[in-house]
Amino acid sequence: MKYVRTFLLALQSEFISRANIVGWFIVGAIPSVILALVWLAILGDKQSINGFTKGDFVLYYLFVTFSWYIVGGNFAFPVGNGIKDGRINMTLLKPYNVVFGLCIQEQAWKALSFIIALPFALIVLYLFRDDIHIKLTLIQNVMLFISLILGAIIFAFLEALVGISAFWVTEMWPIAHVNDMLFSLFGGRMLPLTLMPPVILFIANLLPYKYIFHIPVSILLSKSSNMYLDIGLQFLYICILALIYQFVWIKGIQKYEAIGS
Amino acid sequence: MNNLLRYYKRSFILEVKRTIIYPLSFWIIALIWPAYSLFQIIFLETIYSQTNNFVGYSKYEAYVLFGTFTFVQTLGHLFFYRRLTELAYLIRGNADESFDIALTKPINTQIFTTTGRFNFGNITAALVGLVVVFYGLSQEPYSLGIVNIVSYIIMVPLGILIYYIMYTIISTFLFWYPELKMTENLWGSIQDFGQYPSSLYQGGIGIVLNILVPLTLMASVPVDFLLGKLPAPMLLLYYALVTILLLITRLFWNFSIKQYSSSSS
Repeated sequence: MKYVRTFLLALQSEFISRANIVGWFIVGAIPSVILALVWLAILGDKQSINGFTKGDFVLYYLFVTFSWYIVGGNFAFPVGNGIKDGRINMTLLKPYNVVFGLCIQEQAWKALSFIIALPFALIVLYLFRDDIHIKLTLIQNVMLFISLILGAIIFAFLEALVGISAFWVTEMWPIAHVNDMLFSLFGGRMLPLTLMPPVILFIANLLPYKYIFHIPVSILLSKSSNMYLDIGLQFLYICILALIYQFVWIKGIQKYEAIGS
Repeated sequence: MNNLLRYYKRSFILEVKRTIIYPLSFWIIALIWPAYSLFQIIFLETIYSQTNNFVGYSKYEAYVLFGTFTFVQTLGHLFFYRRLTELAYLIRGNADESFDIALTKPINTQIFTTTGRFNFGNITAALVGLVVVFYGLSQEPYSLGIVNIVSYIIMVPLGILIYYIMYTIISTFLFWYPELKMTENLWGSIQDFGQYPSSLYQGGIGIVLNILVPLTLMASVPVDFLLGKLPAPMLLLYYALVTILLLITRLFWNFSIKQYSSSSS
């Protein structure tokens, strides 16, 4: 219940400055629009590139933009700043997980942005109705949903790990920036991983970033060779990241000097 | 004019001192920005593994384009980014200084609040950009005339001015909506339009990005002059366009500043 209250409070805060919600939508949509234009220009008169048709590219970048409101976010900075200025002190002795609370707060703007962005998604789907063909079975739909949720959890663990790096470093933004860059390249936000050079694909297979966006979008485009295995690997990464997070958090708290308390 | 030069000289010396005292940010930026270039080069290689010609650009022409964009963008960061990003905090009144104080300074407020801080860490990325330009030029036999080179050298500072103009216009909206939190990120996204060839943008979006909000002036247009894809007399047209945009920026600033409501006093 306490986290529901946290979410509702965050939702109210978002309504105070509504212009930001529209602004963030534009910020998020621009890179996808540019990249879609790039790939459609490369595609030209060709039917497909490595199995990606015009409809696939449009759907891919549409998914990357809109699934951000389910999967993505940016709560590493609130966590890091909370550690730096001692704001997490007040919650450490209470039955309240401060990092989870900040993660829940993050869901408020995502939920509102998703609602605002939905009509735009429908317009794009309508404009490209002749090119986009989504043929998902009921099982694939269920797997897509599960995969998205698991991707969101992997993303949340990575953000939390970046955030709690503030226990050791005063400037955590470079770590966040590097994390973003790695996510863009190896997570398939920049371009479909299957189009990447083999060496990049090999590295991407070893890192968790691939399991955030790439797996759900592969299921959506019916390009996953074994979706059960992919989802199993998502579970595995969640377990590994959860263990790492728990270890780093305990070590961090042991080192924490509770500035401001 | 003397006041202005003295302001920039003092600001420059102050920034050098800041960088020496707190060198961490300098080194972080100096190391991370070139890494970003590496990622973009991987992207370029991926594109050209699928095609030999991307909207009229060969692979190495695209290298010249990307190098120019990196050079222009990072110099924009070096000269303008920090102060324009701080403007949001000045207007909201949650910075060390406040916009109220800026208004009372014996210097043009726009110049004082949008310029005068430097991000020296960007120098390495600018150098990486130059290296990429020379690498691209060295890989194919171009016949670069003196007119092409001079046009390019003139256009690059205009590209940096476009960086300033666009980020200033976006930041000026803060006078109207001080609660906007994403002006910095918005500019971060919008400037990506500038790193691709102008011919990528067709129809309505082409008119917007090539003429009304000419972000392609940041890289594509200078490179088109360098590679002889645009005739030299067009330079005058672009010069006039940037001058008009500078005037519009000034008028918009003067108009918008009346909305400032002095949150801190």
